[in-house]
Amino acid sequence: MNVRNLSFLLLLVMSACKKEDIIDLDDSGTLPVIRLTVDEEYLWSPDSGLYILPNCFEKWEFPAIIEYLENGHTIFRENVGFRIKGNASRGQSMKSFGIYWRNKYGNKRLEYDIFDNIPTSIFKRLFLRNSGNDFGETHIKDASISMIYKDYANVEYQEYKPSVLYLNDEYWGIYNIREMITPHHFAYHFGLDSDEIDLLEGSELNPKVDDGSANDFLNDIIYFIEENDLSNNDNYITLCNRIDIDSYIDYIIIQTYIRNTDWPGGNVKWWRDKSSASFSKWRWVVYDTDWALKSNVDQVWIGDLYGDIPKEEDLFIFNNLIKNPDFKKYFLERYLFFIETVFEKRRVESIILANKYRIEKEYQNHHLKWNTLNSNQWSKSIDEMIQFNNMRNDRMKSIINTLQGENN
Amino acid sequence: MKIIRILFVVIVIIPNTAFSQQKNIWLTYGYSTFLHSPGIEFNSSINDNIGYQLGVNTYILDHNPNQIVNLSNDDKFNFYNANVGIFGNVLNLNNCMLGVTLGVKVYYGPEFKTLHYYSYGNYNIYFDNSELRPTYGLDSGVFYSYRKITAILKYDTSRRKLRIGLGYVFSK
Repeated sequence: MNVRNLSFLLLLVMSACKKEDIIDLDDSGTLPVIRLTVDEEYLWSPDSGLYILPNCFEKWEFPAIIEYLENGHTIFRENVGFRIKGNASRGQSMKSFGIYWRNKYGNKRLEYDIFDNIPTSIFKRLFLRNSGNDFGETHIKDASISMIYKDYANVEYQEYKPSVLYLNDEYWGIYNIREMITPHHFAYHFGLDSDEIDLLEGSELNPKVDDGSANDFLNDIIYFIEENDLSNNDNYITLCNRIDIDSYIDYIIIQTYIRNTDWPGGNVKWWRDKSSASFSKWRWVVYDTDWALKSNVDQVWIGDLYGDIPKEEDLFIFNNLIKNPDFKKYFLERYLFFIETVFEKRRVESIILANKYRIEKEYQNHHLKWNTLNSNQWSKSIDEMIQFNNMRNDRMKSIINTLQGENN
Repeated sequence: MKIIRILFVVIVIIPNTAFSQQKNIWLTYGYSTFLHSPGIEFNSSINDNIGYQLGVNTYILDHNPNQIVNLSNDDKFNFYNANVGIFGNVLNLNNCMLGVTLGVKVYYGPEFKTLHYYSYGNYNIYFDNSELRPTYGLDSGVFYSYRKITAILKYDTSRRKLRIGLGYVFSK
């Protein structure tokens, strides 16, 4: 046997040992099904394929057909636009999709009660989420955190429903159907005019405009705080007439309690309706909490109130508000309420486990598709989230009690 | 730089600190989709029939970006896998020797799997399913030595990959 024959034989054996081939899977029938049909070119071609690595960070939108099924029956089938969504998570193998209803595709909105317990059945956009930075771990983290605070907190959030996605008839895993935070979201939820919404994101001192304008926020809030001492109650009350102080307090409590390490450097959104009496104050939105409830349970940061500060300017409003004794007292009382009620250990455990059981039967298929954690590892990662809350609850209670003692 | 340090430990420090009668270095190579993986293994015998082995392998990406949807490699650290185990001489005749190896292997680097067949382009689209999560498995192999030259064929259960190698016995 000469060298060429030997090399050929070895390559042949090595090729034969490769475990390859596309995994053909069917869902377990326990979750609603979404069938997304997209021209292959819009997914995979080097020029316009949104799913391939060189293009997946583009904000292109292409036509698609979405079909939604429950218990095997088609509920709706619509022509829509689709995009890849997310930030860093676009670089993952399983990508999030944005679904857009527009006149040019057929219907300008979807009318269906896709979620329970929210006041609207009208949607301009839906988010088919891969669980963001939690992809490959619990797959329910951000959804579970939302379910934990949603009935108590004065903040906006994205409702959740798990589903199975087929992309051009191929099984594509468990996707979390979420609402998308846009002016339409506030318009449909609260009966507002979407053209009147100011939606900002990023740094309080240098906000990025998602929609509307940042001028009023900078003038009424930031410049006002810069020029007025909030330890003075008159100034504090003036600010309370401009921002929804309950929303801001709940927002800070949630983000600091869950130890969202992807915040406040990112994932900060706030909004108001400039023409509505009820929603003219700025309110905050909690989203993308996929890096929360894990690791380093003892690390606590509540702006200037407690712990080390990642970046001083990130909590500019809060750090000025705590100069006011009334605010500080109210904030600590509210924090304690969240610890004892919203994040109460057994309550949090039951919500997280309910979300786990909801997708448990489907999880094995999802694991086989994407090589995520196996079932045991997955259960362990969910248990770690519960254990984090158990320890965090004690830790935060101790800290808030101490701060209350110092404040009296 | 880290890979050089690891290689230094494997090649220089460990052999010189271990009690050994025979030292053997294998240069190995493996291939999987979009990855070339050169590596090195050090073997040191404890007695005439048995010894231990250590190996470390790096990877070189050779991919078409239009055919992948994600890539979870670490730009600064192209560590692919490492193995540790024992070897034994099964047959020893004059200048020829047949032996087997058995150990454990840990992978860390990327692994590309077929995600979709793109019919318009007539090629496969791949995804990196490693998520930079270590995977473990058994590592086994057979080797054949003639005088100071050794040929090796290895297989691991971690990712079911084959490696081939050539070695040299540099002290006895």
